[in-house]
Amino acid sequence: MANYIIRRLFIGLFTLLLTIIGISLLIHIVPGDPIDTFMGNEGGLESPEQIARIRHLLGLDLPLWMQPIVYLKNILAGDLGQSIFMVTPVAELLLSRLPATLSLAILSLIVAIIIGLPFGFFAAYNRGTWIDNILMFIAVIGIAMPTFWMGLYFLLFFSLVLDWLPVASGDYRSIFLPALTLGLTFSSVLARMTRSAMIEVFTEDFIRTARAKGLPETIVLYRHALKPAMISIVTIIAVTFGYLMGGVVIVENVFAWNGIGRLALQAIILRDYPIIQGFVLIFASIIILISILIDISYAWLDPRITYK
Amino acid sequence: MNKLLKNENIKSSSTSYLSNARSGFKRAIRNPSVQIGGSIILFFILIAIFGPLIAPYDPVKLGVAKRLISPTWEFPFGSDALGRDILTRVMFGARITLYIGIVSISIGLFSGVIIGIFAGYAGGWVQAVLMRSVDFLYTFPDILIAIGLVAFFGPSLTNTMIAVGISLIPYYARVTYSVTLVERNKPYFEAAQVIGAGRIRLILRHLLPNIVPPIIVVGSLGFSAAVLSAAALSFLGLGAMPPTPEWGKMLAENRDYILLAPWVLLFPGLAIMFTVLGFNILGDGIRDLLDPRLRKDIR
Repeated sequence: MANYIIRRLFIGLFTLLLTIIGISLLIHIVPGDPIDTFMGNEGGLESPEQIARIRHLLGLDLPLWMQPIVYLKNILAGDLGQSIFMVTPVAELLLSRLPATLSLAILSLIVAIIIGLPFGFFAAYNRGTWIDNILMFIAVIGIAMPTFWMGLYFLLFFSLVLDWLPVASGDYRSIFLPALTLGLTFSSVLARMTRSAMIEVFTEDFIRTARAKGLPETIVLYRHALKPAMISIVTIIAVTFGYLMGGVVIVENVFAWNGIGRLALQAIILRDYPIIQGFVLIFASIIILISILIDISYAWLDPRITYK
Repeated sequence: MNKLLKNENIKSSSTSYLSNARSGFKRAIRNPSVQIGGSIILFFILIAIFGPLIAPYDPVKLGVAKRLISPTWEFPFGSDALGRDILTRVMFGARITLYIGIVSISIGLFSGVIIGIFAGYAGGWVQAVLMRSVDFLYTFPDILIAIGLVAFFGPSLTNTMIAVGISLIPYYARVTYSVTLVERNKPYFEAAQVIGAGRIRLILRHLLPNIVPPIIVVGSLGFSAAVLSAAALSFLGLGAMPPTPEWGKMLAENRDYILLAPWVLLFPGLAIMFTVLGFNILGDGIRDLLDPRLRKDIR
């Protein structure tokens, strides 16, 4: 087990390393010379000193093979480069926005769990009945609804019914709407996955045996079904969290929530590449971390799984 | 997010229904999910093809109507903030959405199938490197991959389609890879090899037909993923540019008027939702047909 965890961490680190190399080279997929595209936006600012400054900020004054090495070396020293437009280190910008993004993601996940888990469980338990059909119909609609569209109508609804004006960042209510929007979308996903995981458990032989023994239904559910179900549910929640990180970027921009996603969008439009690189790095690290946690929790929860 | 749906239970094993394609088609037609999803998509495709011919107004001409009028007989979906007819724009938007979907899916499908077959065949370190990278990309939400790529490509509709297409590669690569592994170890495949079928013939005659059924499922679900991602990117201002009547862009352009005229966002949003819904339901339906084990679970 300890061996497995160490090995998994090692693989995770290796993936992160490859990601960092990839990010440092991504700048070269910018069509044409990144400096040209960059300067094209501004016009008339093309003094040689400025070009040299930006070249240096992007690390383009180094030979190609050195760029990933220097980028990696800088990261290890906590330096993610400097924003081109805001004269601030990228690491500082990202760190100041990270709590906002994480709190939104975690609150959304909680909303999704509170709604999605019971619904999925309930649907699986009443599999094939009208209850199941209605719940799954709602879930299918929920998945198809674009998050940003739903969010805008929530905004309308809450401002009309509860007289909440689109609230400014910092107010506790300002996190409520984005979290509700994102949480509802992912509760549909969670409900569907929970349902299929639970159906698998409910059709296991040991459940049939427990019922055949004449055990009361509550004992069957809590003693026999819950524990094996936990294994898949923990995984499902972690997987959902990973995907939720994609939705965060959109929802932050719908509700003007000052997280990394909003910063990233501004940077993309201004072509502030160092910030974009930092954004990709942070989100990639979070997702790599989640997938490590999923694998470890899997091994920890299910004693049948052994890893060599 | 659609990756999650695909994850649920795609089985790549695929044999009996192939030999019996016609009865498979008949069975598919009788499946309620296929009927509902198929009808929605058929309607969407018809609008995409004929909509621009029957649309009442010009989609980009300003001031066709007064600004932000509510739905009337003359303008059934109302007008937007620049006085354009929303019904007309939604109809033209169907064509753009279909175009985005087809281009992205083609990019993802073509690259994914090639990577999958290549990895399945090559074995050794080529396979390890290819599939490890595919698995790695698979853990990322597709919208995040698409945003990351557009960030470097630069915002535009073409770049959005390329980025969304690339974000779909992992699905197709994984399905193709697993089918390739299963098929190449079957006796008929070895027999074909023994009687001297060339590599190209093996791939075209024996491998590709087996990849088709699971690819239809992934393709249908992938189409809805592409529609959602592209709409989101356009909404964020990274995809379609004005005055293109793209649904996501229409939402972004009129979002500030939702308090004044709540209907301005209703119809473009419904259009996205029904298109995604149609492809999801169809994909689910076909998957249930292809995977008897799952069908048993549902009924």
